Amino acid sequence: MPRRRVAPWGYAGIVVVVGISLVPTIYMVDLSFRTTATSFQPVLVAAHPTLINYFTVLTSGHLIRFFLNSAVVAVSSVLLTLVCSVMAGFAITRLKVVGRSVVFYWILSALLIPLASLLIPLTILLKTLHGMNTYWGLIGPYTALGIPFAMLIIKGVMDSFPSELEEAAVLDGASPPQVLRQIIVPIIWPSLMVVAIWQFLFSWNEFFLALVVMTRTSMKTMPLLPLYFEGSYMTNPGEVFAVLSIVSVVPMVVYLLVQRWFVSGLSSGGIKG
Amino acid sequence: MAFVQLAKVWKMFGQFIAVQDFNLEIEEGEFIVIVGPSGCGKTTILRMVAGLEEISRGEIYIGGKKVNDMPAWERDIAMVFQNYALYPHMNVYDNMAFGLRNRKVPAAEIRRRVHEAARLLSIDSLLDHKPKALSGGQQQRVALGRAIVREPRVFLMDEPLSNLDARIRLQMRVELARLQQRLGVTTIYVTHDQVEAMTMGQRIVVMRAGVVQQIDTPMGLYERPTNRFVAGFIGMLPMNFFDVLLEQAEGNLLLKGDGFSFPAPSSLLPDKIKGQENAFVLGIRPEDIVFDAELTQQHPEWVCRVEVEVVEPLGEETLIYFPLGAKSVTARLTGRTVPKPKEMVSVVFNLSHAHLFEREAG
Repeated sequence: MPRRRVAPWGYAGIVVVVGISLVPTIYMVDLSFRTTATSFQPVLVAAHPTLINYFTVLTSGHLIRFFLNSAVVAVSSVLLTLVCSVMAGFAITRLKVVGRSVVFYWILSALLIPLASLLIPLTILLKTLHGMNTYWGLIGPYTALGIPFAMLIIKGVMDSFPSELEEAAVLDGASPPQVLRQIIVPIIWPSLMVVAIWQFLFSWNEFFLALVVMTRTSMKTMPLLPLYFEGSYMTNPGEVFAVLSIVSVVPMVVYLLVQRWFVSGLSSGGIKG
Repeated sequence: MAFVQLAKVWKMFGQFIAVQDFNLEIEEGEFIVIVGPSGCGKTTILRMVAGLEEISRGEIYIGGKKVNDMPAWERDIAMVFQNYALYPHMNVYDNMAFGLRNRKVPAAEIRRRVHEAARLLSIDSLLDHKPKALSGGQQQRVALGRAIVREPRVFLMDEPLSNLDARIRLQMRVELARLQQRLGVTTIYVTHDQVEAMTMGQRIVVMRAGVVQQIDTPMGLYERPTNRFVAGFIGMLPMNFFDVLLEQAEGNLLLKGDGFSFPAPSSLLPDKIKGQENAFVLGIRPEDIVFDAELTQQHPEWVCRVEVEVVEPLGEETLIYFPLGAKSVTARLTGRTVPKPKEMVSVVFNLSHAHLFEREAG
């Protein structure tokens, strides 16, 4: 399909929107290069940038540990969400089980519940199950909260998946797990990347539950790191924003690496056989 | 026992009967075509043989073994789908090798079979290509190749040529027939195109609304259609049908229709209606309405004087359309004599090749 030409005023609009959206990011990065003295100067980009904040954060001793914790939690929750929702999507769209629609909408209804309202029940549950200060104490809830959205995407894709491809594979001797693994998953890969990125961003950035569940310093995740650089009697915005910049880099890099699948996944409605 | 046998097979989707009491015996190596309009149940039959659809009632045997409850992958059947169903993420080689790998065929044997099939189908230079890089005809060959390498007991083909353009379809039709003769694999081929059915099938099953209308050889269907539906469906051009009354007049049986009255030859009258006086439908193919001096001389009573309405010269033959009573009639004339519109011409209705059907029968 030939690309549509964008009119000059269209470009101008894009530039304005992108410019406005970038202001907080630019300000965050800029503040991370300021000293305490220049922190509150009312300019977008301050003169005399310094790396001292990054040096302080990187040598604080927490960064690597928190980073690893976040990585373990986010990657595990992405993988678990993908595995569970792909299998559930296959079962709900393919197996002739009574009440599968009810199950699907039941799962979907979880999208209506805000995380904040789950905080206290989840904390009590995790405490009872000895899940406080453990990886699975975050991985479990993140996965459970991610599955409804993942199911929404995956069911849509699987519904439009051409049945002939599956039937051809079955006649070629493939068992249902082989059909799923060797035919369906490679073809719906772009849509799975949408789920993966979405889930990664959610797991990487989640603050509230992590704050409550991870009370031990060695188990804390990246969004909690800024708390170590501010307090009632001390403040250095430069360090806080240096931490925030570092925390933001990972999702940006991940997104840039997989954005081509993300875009094609979002736009994939029908799959051509 | 036949190699593939369908005995009293029914398929119901809820209250809807898709296939009704279907019986067919297919010999080993035979090329059977199931033909009929959309929704007549032909693809459903194919899918039931493949094991992709459960059978509501009846039995299916392959190689003497009942396969009703046998899963699709155990039936040793290969199917070519209408839209080819090539795996888009695999190249041509992997598409063809997929089934063999699942059956744990040694890698060297897979290589040999894939290359042999690719050579046979002239796609050996495309083995590294992904399906989306191939033309429709090439994709069709890959789909065939994928079926061939498996060396199955039965080929099932579900309108495999319908997505191709006319020229390639013609070419593939010939190639498919040649391939089937060469490989000698029992083949069930489904199509809605009567030309494909007539040119490819050793026997043809004509279906309508889930019910078999007739099973016969191509020429058998053409010359001895059992009902009006088969007569109308088989043949390059639609058969002309006329409501007629069979009447006794001076010892002769007369076919009286709107705008004509012909003495009926005895060959036209099936035994069951001989001697009766009743309402029938006369069917005569466009190629049996001719300019023929010899026939005119033999049967002057079959000649009709008509005014030509539309002329379609096709080179070696000409189609003319003319009104007869309230009907528009098509005649297919051979030779190079091309009448002009509004010209009065004498055409002979060759009633020795015509058919008489009961009115209520389809």
